[in-house]
Amino acid sequence: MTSTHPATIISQENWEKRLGEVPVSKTEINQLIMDYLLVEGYKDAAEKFSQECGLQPGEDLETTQERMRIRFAVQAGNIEEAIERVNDLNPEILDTNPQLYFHLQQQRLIELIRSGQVEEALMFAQEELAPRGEQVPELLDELEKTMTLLAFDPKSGHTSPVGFLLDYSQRQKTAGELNAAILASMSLPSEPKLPSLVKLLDWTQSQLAEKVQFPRINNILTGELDTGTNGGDESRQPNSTI
Amino acid sequence: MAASAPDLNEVLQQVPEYLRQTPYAALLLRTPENKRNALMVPTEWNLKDKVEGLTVIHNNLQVNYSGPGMRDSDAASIRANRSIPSQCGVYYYEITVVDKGHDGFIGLGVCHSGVLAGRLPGWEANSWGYHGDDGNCFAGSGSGRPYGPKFTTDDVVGCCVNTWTQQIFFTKNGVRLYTAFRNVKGALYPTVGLRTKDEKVLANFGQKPFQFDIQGYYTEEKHRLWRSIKGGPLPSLPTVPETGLLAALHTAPQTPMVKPSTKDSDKMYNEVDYTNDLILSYFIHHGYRESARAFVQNVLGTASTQRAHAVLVNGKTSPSDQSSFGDNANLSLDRALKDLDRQDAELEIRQRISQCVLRGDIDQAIQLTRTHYPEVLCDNELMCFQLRCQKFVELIRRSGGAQTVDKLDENFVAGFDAPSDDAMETEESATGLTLADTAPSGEKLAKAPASSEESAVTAGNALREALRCGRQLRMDYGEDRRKVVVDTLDNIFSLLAYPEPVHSPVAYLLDEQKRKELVHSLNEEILVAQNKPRVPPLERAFTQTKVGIDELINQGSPTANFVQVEHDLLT
Repeated sequence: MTSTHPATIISQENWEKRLGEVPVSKTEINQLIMDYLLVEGYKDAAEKFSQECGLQPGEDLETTQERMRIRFAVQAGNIEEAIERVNDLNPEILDTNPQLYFHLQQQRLIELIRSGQVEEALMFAQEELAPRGEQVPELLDELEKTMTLLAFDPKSGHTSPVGFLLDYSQRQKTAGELNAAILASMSLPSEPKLPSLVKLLDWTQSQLAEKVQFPRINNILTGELDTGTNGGDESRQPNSTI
Repeated sequence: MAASAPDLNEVLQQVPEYLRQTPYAALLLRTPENKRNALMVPTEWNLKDKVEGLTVIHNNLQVNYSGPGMRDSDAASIRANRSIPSQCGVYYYEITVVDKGHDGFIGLGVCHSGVLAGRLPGWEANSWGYHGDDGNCFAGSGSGRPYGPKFTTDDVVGCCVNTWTQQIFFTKNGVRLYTAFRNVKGALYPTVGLRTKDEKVLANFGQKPFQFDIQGYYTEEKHRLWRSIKGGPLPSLPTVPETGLLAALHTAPQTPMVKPSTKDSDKMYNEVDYTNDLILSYFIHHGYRESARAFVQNVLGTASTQRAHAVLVNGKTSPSDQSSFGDNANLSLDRALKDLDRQDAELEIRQRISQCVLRGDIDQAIQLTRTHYPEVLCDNELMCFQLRCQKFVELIRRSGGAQTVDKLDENFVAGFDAPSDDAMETEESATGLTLADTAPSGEKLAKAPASSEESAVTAGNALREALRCGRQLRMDYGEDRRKVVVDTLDNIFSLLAYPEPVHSPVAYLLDEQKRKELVHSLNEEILVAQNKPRVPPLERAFTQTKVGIDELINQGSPTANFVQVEHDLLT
């Protein structure tokens, strides 16, 4: 498969001149990085960065750390601890997010089932989850799926149709939902913006490659302009400088 | 010649508000006036592009029917002055029915140029319209199909062309109706048509706020585009990096490492991996050393915790694997930190050179550069020339009258942190290369630690030394006809013509900014000489995207206008 190259060619010289003319606000880029560090919970990095670039973090760094503890608690399967910590941080977060609260309790149920505490799991489901599920039909559906896990031997549960609930990714999903709710309660974005730049660059370059030939960045980690090629991977020339 | 600010404001005033912050507006502003017209949105009805039987008033915005109004052949349409630029992404205009007249046979829509104007919108090929008397929509046919509500006196109806999806919908009194037409192509002109006596419609091409929330629709489309961008494939890497976080995480010595092929490695990475390395190289480049260190620890620490959890929960490995996993995580952390140490040492030298230039100690800067990066001054004789010129400027500064010197030094000292050589070596400079960008830390600035050179040279000596240095420059470069050389020499020598250079027309040469610029280019040359990127890849990705979006707009892309790089990433 050979791609037809567009007729219009933008020279490297011209392109670099234009790159040089783009105003880059270091403050804005620093802000973008700071948001990323906070949302991802990289507290130490955020702290040092704040000192070194003179930018105030938009979140109290103690909160960042606590947010991370909460996240790790969920990821480690300690749901009770996580709920306690969230309520210490700000009780409104769970009060105003019934669905989130349900998912946390559901995760707790999953952990009980995983550890083979069948009776406790049953009791917990009846007392804590069923009453909430009745109010919202979708939640009841999720509860039913979770209870299906009990029908399988804990050791073979992974291979059952609802085995995905036992995966680590389920904990991550719950932890992510909780993290996003905490961030939202502090008016921080629930996902960092910076990774979108990587995708946007790629989108922009492939859109533009349909219209003109221009110096392209093929390796985002070096940011080097590649002038020889414009099309697909096949035509890419070996990159001698790393 | 660039247009002056008021002119540009006027340009923006003609554009509907929802477009004023978009790449399309930027295109208008960077296009020379004589070419701008061709890119402009429609702004009024075109008196020359209508049939008889229509009167146009109110700055060419209101159209009144004045024909016989008896038969379909009495219909009369008018087109707007321009076609809709494809770059808009979304184009929208509204009309108010001032008077439905006899029967309210009123239509609005879009059509190509040259479509018969004696017909209502939608009746002819290449014409699309929505009619008030029956609420039907028409696409190249005299018979319409049921579409929306009827409209009459005092109703506000709008027409929205999405040049990305090539679809059109209409609105009535601010409410959006569903899609009327798909696959609408070509150069489209807004058009209205009237057919019975006393019908009057008033257009709003965006000079006033619209009834419909077009900004909301634009944002909706923006989000739709962003979802598809974020869902798109991740760019692959031509080579697997050997240093950095990605390398530490994915090529860590868990298994005797066979370098993964590009295809395999693609699956392992995601945009967060890339982002982490972009941030790390940014930190290193700008000398945020402590940040870099803490970041590496945080990222690798978090990653290893997460993977340890994943292993535990998913139970795919034996306990012994888990402990060796932990060891490996430590190993890759060690490796990444060692890598930073190496970069730190190198960075420190660059920082010292920068500090020298920033405090005007050019001899020392040249000396250090020569020692550590001999290739920079050998390969780049212009860099060498610039440094020597700066030395001349610094000498003039010192010689320029006692009062001037005092004042100048104060200004300089207040501007940035300038520790002496000794202080540099003993204390960790956390602020990096761009000292003046960061908030000064107070106490350190109280007194100006003069460098050895500075204290030794008195004002008179400085002038003599400046003249000697100037003569030498003349001798070495007097024959050089390169424009940059000639201009620079002319500029710096003119400093000699003024008794108080600080108040002269060439005072900018003495500005702190000049030193910063020199630091910047010297630093870049050192990086390039070591095969490192001139600009941090993160910033390069940003500017490449910006220029790419602008070029897409230049090329008429209907999609790129939904991307507002700074806005979308920063807010």
